[in-house]
Amino acid sequence: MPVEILMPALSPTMTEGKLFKWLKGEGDSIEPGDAVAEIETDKATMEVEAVDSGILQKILVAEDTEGVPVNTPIAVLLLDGEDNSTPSDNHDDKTPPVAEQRVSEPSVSQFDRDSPIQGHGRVDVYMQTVREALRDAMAEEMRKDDSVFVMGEEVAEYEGAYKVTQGLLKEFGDKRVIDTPITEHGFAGLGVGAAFGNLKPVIEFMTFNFAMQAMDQIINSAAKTLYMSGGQMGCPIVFRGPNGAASRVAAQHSQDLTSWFAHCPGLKVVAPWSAADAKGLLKAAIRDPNPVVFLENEVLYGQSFEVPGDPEIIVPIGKANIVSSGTDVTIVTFSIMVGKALEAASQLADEGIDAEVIDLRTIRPLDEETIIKSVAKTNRIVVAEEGWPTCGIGSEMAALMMEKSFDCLDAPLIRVCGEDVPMPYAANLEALALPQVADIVKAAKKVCYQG
Amino acid sequence: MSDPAKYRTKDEVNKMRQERDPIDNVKEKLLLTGLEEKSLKDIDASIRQIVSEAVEFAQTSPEPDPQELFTDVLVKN
Repeated sequence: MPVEILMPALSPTMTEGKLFKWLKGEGDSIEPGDAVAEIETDKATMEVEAVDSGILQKILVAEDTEGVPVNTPIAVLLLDGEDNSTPSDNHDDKTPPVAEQRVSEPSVSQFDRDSPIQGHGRVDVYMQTVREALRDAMAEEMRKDDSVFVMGEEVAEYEGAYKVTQGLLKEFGDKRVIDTPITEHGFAGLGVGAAFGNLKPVIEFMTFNFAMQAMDQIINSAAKTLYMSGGQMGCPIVFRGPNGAASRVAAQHSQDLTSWFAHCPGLKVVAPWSAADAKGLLKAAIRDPNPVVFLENEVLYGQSFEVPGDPEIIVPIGKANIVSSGTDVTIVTFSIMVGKALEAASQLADEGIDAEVIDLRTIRPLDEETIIKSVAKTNRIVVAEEGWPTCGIGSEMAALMMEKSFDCLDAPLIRVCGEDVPMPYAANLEALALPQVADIVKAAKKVCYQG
Repeated sequence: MSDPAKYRTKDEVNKMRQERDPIDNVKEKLLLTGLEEKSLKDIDASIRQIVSEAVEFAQTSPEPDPQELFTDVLVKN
């Protein structure tokens, strides 16, 4: 059977590219590793290499064609020993198997690559993506303080696997924006050592799934050294990167690890939802003299919010935000689930239930006061998180309610969590495993005895 | 191909590929033991067949039954 040569993806964010030039022609003999064509994106020109040996039977996409989607068959290769007469015309009437575009990874072209780094002057409020807000937070703090530097995989030359560090290498140079080898334990440890030496590292994990390689550095070195040195040596470091479920990347790359970090004394744990909070909290985290685990969310990177332009505005760590006030039920949540909770609140309003949505923003230290005050008003609480229920943030809220708000409650707390399974790959099961807006609505109605 | 590898020269990549590709190196070693080139190509072809069948199976199978959400988290005992 002849094999199809497919349009390759040159980067995780590429969805299409230009077939620039054919380096082999129809009838040419090809060996594995031979360059057959050159393709071009806005970022790079690369050669497409043959995997199999055989004869290039047919070219399906002419050179100089722009906008060829990733995974489109671009040529047909007749494998060694195959009959040249094998028909290959069946490609013409077949819809190319265009790669499923992950909503969670906006293509580079969707991101305004030329948007100037903000912060040089005062601007009142402007719309910005979470991705840009995080970049500006780092850029502003790096301008202000020479001891701040960024280190991680692909943060410099490639400008971030998710383009969060775009423009930083150009402005700050390779002494302060540092590409590392693929070794989380290694570069997290280098960062911890630099922080012991009074620098202020911002360590990017491509995702927090990979931070598990560096747990010893985060928990045993960063979080405990101030205590073990009797206060003599601290660790002013930020570990940042996307956490939580992504889309269709299965169990090892799609999970909310918030409660892992929130469990440990010696750390601060921050998980913003909006771009303004992402910026203000990252600035606070960089200025904080303690190790801060800063949990971003891949699905939120491309979402836009209003952001204040004043580079001196920071959002204090340890303060929750009431994003929508109400009187009937308190919905406590954080990170991407804030958006779902607001949607749930809007649906609940249609049914006459006035929900208050609290965005925790910081998980450790917890803003107990804001939650307790809210529950004293509403007498009902639902906790929504993407993570697993066992020993989760919702469980912590249940303990808080027992200890400090027991007499205020008119109904038992309900947790809305991810299902207690590794994230399934199949789309239908993935949707079932993740907490949805309808689950929050159902829980809120139940604590209000209306469902 | 997911990495444009702008930080390496083409020469460096080609040199590593020609001299340090572990699959090619094992192939050389196997050929030195007297194995014939054809039998290695047959292995390649059979692997390609297995992969194509697996891809075909994955692409044509229906989504799993929702009942399967909790299957295989732990061995039941």
